[in-house]
Amino acid sequence: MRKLIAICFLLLSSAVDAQTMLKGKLFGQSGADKEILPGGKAGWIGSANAAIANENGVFELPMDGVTDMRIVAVYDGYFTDTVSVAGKAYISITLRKKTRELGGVTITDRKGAYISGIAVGQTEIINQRELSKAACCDLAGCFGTQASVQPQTTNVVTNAQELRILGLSGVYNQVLLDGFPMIQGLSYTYGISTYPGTVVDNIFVSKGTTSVLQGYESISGQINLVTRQPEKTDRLFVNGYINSFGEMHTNANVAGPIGKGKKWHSLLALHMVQPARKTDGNDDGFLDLPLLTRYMAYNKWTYGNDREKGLALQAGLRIVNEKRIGGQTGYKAAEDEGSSVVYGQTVRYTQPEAYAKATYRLSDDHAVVLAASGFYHDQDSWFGTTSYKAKQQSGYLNLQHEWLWREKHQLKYGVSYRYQELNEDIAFTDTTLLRTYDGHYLTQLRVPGAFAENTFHWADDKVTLITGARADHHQVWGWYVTPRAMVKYSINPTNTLRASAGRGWRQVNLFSEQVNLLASSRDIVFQETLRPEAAWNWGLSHVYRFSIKEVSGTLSGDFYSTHFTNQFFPDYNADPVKATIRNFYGVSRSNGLQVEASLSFFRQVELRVAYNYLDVYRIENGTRVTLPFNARHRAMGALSYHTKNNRWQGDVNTHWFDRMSLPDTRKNPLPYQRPLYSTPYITFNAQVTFRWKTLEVYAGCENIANYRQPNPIISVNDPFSRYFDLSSVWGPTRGRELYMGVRFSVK
Amino acid sequence: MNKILTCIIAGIAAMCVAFAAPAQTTDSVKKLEIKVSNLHCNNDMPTIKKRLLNQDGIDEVTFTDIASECSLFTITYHSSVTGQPQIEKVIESTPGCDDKSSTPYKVKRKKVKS
Repeated sequence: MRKLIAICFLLLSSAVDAQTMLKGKLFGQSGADKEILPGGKAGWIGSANAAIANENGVFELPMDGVTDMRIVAVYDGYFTDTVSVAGKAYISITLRKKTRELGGVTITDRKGAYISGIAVGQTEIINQRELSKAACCDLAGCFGTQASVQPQTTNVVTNAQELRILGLSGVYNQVLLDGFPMIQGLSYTYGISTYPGTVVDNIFVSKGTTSVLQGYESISGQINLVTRQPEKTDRLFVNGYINSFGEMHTNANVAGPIGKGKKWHSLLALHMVQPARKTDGNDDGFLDLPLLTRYMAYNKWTYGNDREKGLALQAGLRIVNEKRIGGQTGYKAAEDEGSSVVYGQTVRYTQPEAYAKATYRLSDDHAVVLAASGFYHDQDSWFGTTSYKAKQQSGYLNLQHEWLWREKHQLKYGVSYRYQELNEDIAFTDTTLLRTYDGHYLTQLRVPGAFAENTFHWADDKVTLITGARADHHQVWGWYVTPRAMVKYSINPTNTLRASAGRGWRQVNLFSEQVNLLASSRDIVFQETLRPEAAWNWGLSHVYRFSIKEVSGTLSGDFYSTHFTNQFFPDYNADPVKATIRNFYGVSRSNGLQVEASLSFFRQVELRVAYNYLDVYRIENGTRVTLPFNARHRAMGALSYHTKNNRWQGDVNTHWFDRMSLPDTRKNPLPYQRPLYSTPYITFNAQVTFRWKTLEVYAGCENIANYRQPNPIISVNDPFSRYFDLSSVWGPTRGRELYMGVRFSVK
Repeated sequence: MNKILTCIIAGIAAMCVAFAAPAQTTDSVKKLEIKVSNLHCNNDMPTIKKRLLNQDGIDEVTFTDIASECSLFTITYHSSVTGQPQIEKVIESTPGCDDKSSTPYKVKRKKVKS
């Protein structure tokens, strides 16, 4: 009986105890972000009983003698709130941040560019913070603070640029837009310039072998441009930019949910470039930069979440209209196109494009993904006395099933189809140069394929292995098998080793990818039909991460080697007035080494230094020929500092280029010869950014030392002679460039 | 007599327990252990912890040191507010500490033998 009474006493005690405490959590809300408020105060209304939220935002309040079941919650900088807790065992209180505290400055704690710790292949990620360190007017200008990608001018008159990885031409790396192959053929030459930095969310740069899922084309690497996510990006973003040449860029983005359920999100981005005034800083009679006029509209849609069951969609529509006018300062496009008196180049094109990806997730383990894209490019251009009119239709279709098996491994397999129809018409208004390659050219691509790729996760994810292969059937050259493998070994949390090996191949689009052929006075001699280019690539990399008090950093080193089994390049050496087109089956190699240190001090200072060694060559008739325009040694340094409140930011970066091998011009008459090697040079760039609430003002200078390559154009005084040549550009040609701009955003 | 007394006292005690508190929703504080994999850097665990603590109903989060890219999280939560599926979803939707665009963390679920 006594025991029973004791038990009852305990029961009653616990009941009384349960009654006397109320537990809850205190949050603060600022915009879409909700965070706990440690140190916040919660107390009964009209009572001295109050509790302080602990480090987890949790508070406990005694309920003894409480009659008015309302709690007053208080936290500095937030509106005080009163909530009723009647009938509740647990209460959650969210305080709204006071407006006067809102929108002070944008605090971003994430460093700019970094090497992914997750990706199996060596992948650098360049985010918006990194892009804000420079003007980043277009994609080619977004790599100023990193060393893996080197923008290279391919046509100095129209300022066509390519993005080189491992010292190899941009055609050997695959540029993707949201994972879709939109840059190829005609869109390759000017395409990378048509994506303004303001639509970019992240740029993923992968060196060496990459996944087979996006196709067979990637040889030296992959650049995936991921545009802003409509559901996450600023509701409004406006950017204006002007440089000292008078070129103006205007960008405006609007994003937000659509419809009542807010399942759809959309982003509309508009981009406009107005031309610079005519500038000829080196007095060679040619414009230093082309007169560029561009209009772009881009609309992106997303629906749902591809990680959740059901349907998720992503789609994009884009249209670009562009006009580039370059050449001699007296050149007027409307009157002088095709003229043999005043030299000029005009490129006009319109390019609509669309892509869509639908993911249907059947369960946590199974999903079906259908992706499709296509673009049409209509170009009308003049290169001196050469008329080049071209139209291209390209299509891509991919259907794949994704299966997560044994809860950790993932198999993706499917089928794909690539389509291309490239029609080119070439004509000459001047026949004195004895060029013979005018006419109509058709380059087709019909490639159905099948692929499978498996990602294995072993040893608690210490080892991740991706193995994949695809088989594609070229309409002329038959089957091509593309095997690829990548492995990542996380030795411990600070050291990661990666290795990759694989094959890639691609079809040559001759004139659109070798635009200098059209600009040159040389005749073109076709010795044979070009086969698709193919190469093997392998590579190793090591990443070491460390953090010592307020200093954190990453040290990395990688080496990649590319071995071509068939390659195409115009042979300029056989005859000074001809370019010979043929396949090259001999030894052609690229060996690239990069070491990089990326350090962050006190979360305010970031320093990145990198060194690249490149050895790109081929063996021709027993002689080692170095690929032109590649500095064997190259170094880069970037320093960034921002104040604690992030209001001020300063960025400087420098690039040093060792001497480069140049095309052999010794067979030209003496006035038209150039040295076999360039001179080493260095460039400095700097930018200052001031942030105030939702406004950013930035100003900077590129090529501060005003370094210019001397005499970039051969036979510049006689652009209609047979020795006129634009293909010897290896350094800056436009001199110092000042710029300023403003960014305004609404979250 | 003792039995009758016992029944009466027990009944009163039970009624006291039942009616002691005002009509509240059922809530109990529970502990949950979740093993999370795919952790690659030292900030992964604090990132997940912060994300969990910013959820309603979670009182406390502790974790073991990283080992073989895995860590054991012990989560104290209120069952009336959240539950294991929601907590696992939060973990798996946490952006990576060095790659904000990815959601790399995976909950290691125990296999159910059929």
